[in-house]
Amino acid sequence: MESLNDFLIQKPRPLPVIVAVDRSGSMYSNGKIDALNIALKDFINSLKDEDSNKAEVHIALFSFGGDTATCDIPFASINEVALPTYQANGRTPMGASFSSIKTLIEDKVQIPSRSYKPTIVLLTDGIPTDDYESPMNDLINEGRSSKAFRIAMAIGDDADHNMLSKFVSTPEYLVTGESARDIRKFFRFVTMSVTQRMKSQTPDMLQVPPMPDDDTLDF
Amino acid sequence: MEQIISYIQATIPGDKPDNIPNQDYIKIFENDTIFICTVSDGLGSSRLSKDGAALACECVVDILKKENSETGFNALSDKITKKWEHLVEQNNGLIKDYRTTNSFISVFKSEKIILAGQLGDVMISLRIDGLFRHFETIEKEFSNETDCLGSGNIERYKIEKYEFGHSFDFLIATDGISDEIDPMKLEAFQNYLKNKFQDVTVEFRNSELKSEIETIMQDKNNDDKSLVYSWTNKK
Repeated sequence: MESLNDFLIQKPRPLPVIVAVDRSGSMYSNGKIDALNIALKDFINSLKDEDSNKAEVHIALFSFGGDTATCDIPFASINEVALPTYQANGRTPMGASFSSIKTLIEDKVQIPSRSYKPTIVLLTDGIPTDDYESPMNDLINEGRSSKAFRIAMAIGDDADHNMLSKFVSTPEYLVTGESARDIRKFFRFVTMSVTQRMKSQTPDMLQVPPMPDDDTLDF
Repeated sequence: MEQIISYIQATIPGDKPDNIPNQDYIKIFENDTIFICTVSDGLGSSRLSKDGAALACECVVDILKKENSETGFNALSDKITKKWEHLVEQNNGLIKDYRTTNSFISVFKSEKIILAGQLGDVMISLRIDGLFRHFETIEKEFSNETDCLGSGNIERYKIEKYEFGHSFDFLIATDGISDEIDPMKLEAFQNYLKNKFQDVTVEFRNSELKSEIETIMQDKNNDDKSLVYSWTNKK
């Protein structure tokens, strides 16, 4: 016998999380790339553990390094992703990542309009080596992508803090770190932000969780 | 051949703190010449959007029952938006506190004309003389992102006019429901509603619809959920 349920989309609304990470040569120093690989793994596992029938995290992972940016995890449910292990090398073609993220968010087949607003997560320890200004401006000011929440981490003094302060949605979403240890802390902050949205009565309102204390980290 | 217009309606609050009311509103009006059905979804981010939603429905009914089917679309839209703003100002309110979406269907019985209007993301789905006419819902970017009355932008209803011959049925639903309906099953959903509820005694139709929405949809999202479905039968 038919019921209302037969006409509904059976999956929760997607909550998109789009991550772009730096795998340039400088990420090799002080164990940053290793910390990033571990932090990403923890991040994905933490989100997999979150269960909600109102929102399902979907993730895409981009990276920039060598001579180009790549899409390493095409947009998919958090439960379907397999993480790469990054090696650090080459330059910092961050602008190419911005273009790829923009293309993804504008695509209503991949990210339908019933989705909650995406969160874009950016982590870098350097200055973009390609033309990033136009792609970044398009990403943050134009069209559908301008609605996304944008969180960033600047690792060390060589990161372009000025550029990142323009990138983020709100000053509280720019996290600065000094060491590899801070990368894991940052991804815990992102996890808390995403899970707060999943549990919130208003998932599309800005959520700024407190930064996790160092002593809550388990090394 | 004359038609009898039947309808069912239900609205339930979303899963939210007790002090936040249901910000959806439904109003239906019928006399010998016109049948008007209008649904508003007050924006959760606006403090008095429950009142804004109700005012929008009142405006739509007040204006449409005095109009004829030849009224220009832009003129009609302007009348509704201006009257709504005027009523908000009469309440000494700030427009931004009353923001709401609104959609309507107005059936001019003797002319056999349907006017459908939409400002924001309250879905309209129409079937006229057996032909499914999905009213092209204004594209929204993401869930809970929508145009609205009181947005501060130039607000204009998208209005379409249709003629009908022997029958019509239509669905109006706020995004708490419409975002969950599989677009490929929309026509089948209208068939389901008609087949099920035309066989239910009139006095029990709305309570049965409400119960079904509460049971099956309450956990799908936190939004308020409202639905009106209307259909014709030969007299």
